[in-house]
Amino acid sequence: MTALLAATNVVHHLKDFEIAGPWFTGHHVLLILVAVVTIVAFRYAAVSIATQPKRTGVVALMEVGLVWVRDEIVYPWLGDKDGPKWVGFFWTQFFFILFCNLFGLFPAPLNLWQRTATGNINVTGGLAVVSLFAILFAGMKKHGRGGYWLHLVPHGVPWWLWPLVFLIEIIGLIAKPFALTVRLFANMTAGHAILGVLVGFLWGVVHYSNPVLGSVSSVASLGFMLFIMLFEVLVGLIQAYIFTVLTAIFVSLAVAEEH
Amino acid sequence: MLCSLLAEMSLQWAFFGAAIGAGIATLGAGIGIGRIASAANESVARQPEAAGDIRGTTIITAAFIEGVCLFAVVVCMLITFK
Repeated sequence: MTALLAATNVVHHLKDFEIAGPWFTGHHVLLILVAVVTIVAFRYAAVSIATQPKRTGVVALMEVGLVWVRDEIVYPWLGDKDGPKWVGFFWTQFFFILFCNLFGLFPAPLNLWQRTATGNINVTGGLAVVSLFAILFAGMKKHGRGGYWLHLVPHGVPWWLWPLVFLIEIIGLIAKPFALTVRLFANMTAGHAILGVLVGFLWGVVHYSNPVLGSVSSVASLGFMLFIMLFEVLVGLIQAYIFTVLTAIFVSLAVAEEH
Repeated sequence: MLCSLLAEMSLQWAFFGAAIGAGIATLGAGIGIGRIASAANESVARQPEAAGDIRGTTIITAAFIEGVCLFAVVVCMLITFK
C-alpha cells in the first residue's frame, strides 16, 4: 500500500510529446502561444503608453515591469550610453522567459498541453545561445571583430601564460551559457517534478483501505501542493530575472574598456 | 563474493549512487544558503537602512547556489532515466 505512494510516473508529465511529427511538439505549441501573447500584450502596452498621458490598469502593471527591468537590470550594468540600445533585447528576453515559466503553471483551459516551455533543455539552450550571440555581438562591435578575441585575456598577464589564460577564457565563454541553460531548465523541471509527485500521492489515495490515513495524507498533500505552486511562481520570476541579469553582466563585461 | 555482488547488481548500484548524489548535493546547497541567510541577517542588524539592497543580494545569491545544486540533480536524473 505504501509502495503506491511514489509509484506514479512523473517523468511522463515532464517530457515533451509530439503532435504532428517530431518537429511540432507540445513545447513548440506552447512557445508559439507565449510568443503571440507577449507580442500582442506588449504591442498594446506600447500603443497605450505612447498615446495616453495617464495609464491605468493592466498597462500600468506592464509599465511597472518594464521600468523595473530597465532600471534594475539594464542601466546599472550597461550604463546610460549603451543602455537605450540594449533595453529592447533585455525586455524581450525577460518577459519571454517570465511568461514561459508562468504559463507552465496554469491549469488546463489556458495551457491545454500542460507543459512548461522552458522545462525543455533545448529551449533553454536556444535562449542561452541567443545570450551568447548577444555577448559576442556586443564585444565584436565594441572592440572590432579580431580585437574582441585579442582582448579576451586581461591586461597584465605575462606572455608565457597567454595561451593558457586564452584557453581558460574560451572555456568560460562556453561554460557561461551552459550554466544559464542548466540553471533555468533544472529549476523549472525540478519544481514540476515535485508537484507531480505530490499529485501522485493524491492519485494513490484511491488505493488506501484506511480512510483516516487516506484523508490525512490527501489534506497534507493538498497543503504541500499549494505551497509548492506559490513557490514555483516565485521561482519562475526569480529565474527569469537571474537569466536576464546574468546576460546583462556578461554583455557589460564584454563591452568593458580595458585600458 | 563481494565482487560478484557488485558486478551483478550494477544497475541498482547506479540508482543508489544517483540517489545518494542528489542527497549530498542538497546538503551543500542547504549549508551554502544557510550561511548566506546568516550573513544577511547580521548585516541587516548592523545597518537596517540597507535592508532593501541586502534582500536583493540574498535572493540572487540564493538562486545561484540553488542552480549549482540543481546541476547535480540534473546529473542524477540523467543517471536514473538512462
